[in-house]
Amino acid sequence: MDETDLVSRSQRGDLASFNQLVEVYQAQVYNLALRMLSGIAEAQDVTQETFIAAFHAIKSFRGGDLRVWLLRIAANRCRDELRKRRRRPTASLDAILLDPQAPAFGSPEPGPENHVLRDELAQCINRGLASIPEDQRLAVILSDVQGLSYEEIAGVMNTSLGTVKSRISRGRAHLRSYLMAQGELLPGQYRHD
Amino acid sequence: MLEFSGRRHRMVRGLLSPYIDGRLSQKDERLVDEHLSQCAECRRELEELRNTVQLLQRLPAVAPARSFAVSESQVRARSAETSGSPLGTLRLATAALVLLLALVVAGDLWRTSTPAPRQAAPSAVQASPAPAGAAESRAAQPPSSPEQGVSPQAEPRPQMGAAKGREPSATDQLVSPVPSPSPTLPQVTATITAGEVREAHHVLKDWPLRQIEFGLLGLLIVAGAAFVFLRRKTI
Repeated sequence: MDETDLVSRSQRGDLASFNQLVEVYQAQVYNLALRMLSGIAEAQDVTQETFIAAFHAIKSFRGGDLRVWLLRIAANRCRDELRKRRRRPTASLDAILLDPQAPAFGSPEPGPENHVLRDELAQCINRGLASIPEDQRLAVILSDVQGLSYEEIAGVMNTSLGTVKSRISRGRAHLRSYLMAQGELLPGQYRHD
Repeated sequence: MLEFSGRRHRMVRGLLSPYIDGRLSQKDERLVDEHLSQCAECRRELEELRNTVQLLQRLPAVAPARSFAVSESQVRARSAETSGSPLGTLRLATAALVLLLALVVAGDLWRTSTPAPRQAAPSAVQASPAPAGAAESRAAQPPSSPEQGVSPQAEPRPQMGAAKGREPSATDQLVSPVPSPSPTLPQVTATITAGEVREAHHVLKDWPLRQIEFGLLGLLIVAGAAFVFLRRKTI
């Protein structure tokens, strides 16, 4: 059954069909939430809430890109969570655990040393992402981590292409400054000594 | 010249990110290429930005530890939550406001379309120097029924020819108890005075309804805006 059929059935209240869509998109929604919120428990909650809200609102989905629509709901939920967190600050950056089965990061060679380096680097990047303003972070994650086009990002963020371009640009510049300041963590090819 | 190159340097730095993504116009791309060939600092920044993007692209995707399939109980819980949410209350409040506003507007229209009570008119006319003007003004608004137009109760000045459709003549001015220096000036003054009296009467009579209408309209706008905002937030 293709996506359009699954959406139509979901719009008629078929939960089983909707859950097939959940299987397709849950990793992407979860990763967006994880990068935005930097906490596993919050990311899981937001991902679950996103799909529950999406099932309730799917009747209002008028076609188009389902991934963009789901990521928009997830982005709004992340903003709500960050707003709540500002009222009740709880640091959970260090709670991030990376998938040990994930492909090598930072270096093409596998091995325990590279694994440690990969984890440290990933933590460093996550800290860098957490240090940049919320809208810029969302734009950078959607662009460089999730691989969305500028047009898709504009759809997720409900804003203009010019704003998307500017947020990505400023977000990358912030992150670049942060990573350069953490020079010793970066793999050799990324360092300027 | 230095200022120009500094400005260009800053401008090119702002274009480096879309340059990496190939999102620049040909003109801007040429500008960046040209500047990069002369500016080592921008070349270095471009390389660092490219590295940053590469690092982000190679960030491993994290596999979710569990499925996020939605259960029937979650759907029911959410439905119960939504039914008690401000969105549902706002929807009801908006509907109630629309109904109330419609009722008030209907009442207002009814009041303004029915002839105003004339109790105030005789005293106004007695105090007013211009009965002819008042009659003329009434003649401009044809009565909805013949009884309404010529009833002695409703019309305290049956002697006014203008009230029966006749154009006011110079003799009408003679009825005016206030002497005037010219034959045309008193007529104008009288018309305005009578009109003002009637206007004031209407305004005084209607202002509470108008206030309520504007108040309800304001509330309706606020409720509508809140509804749209909350709905967008929910999705």
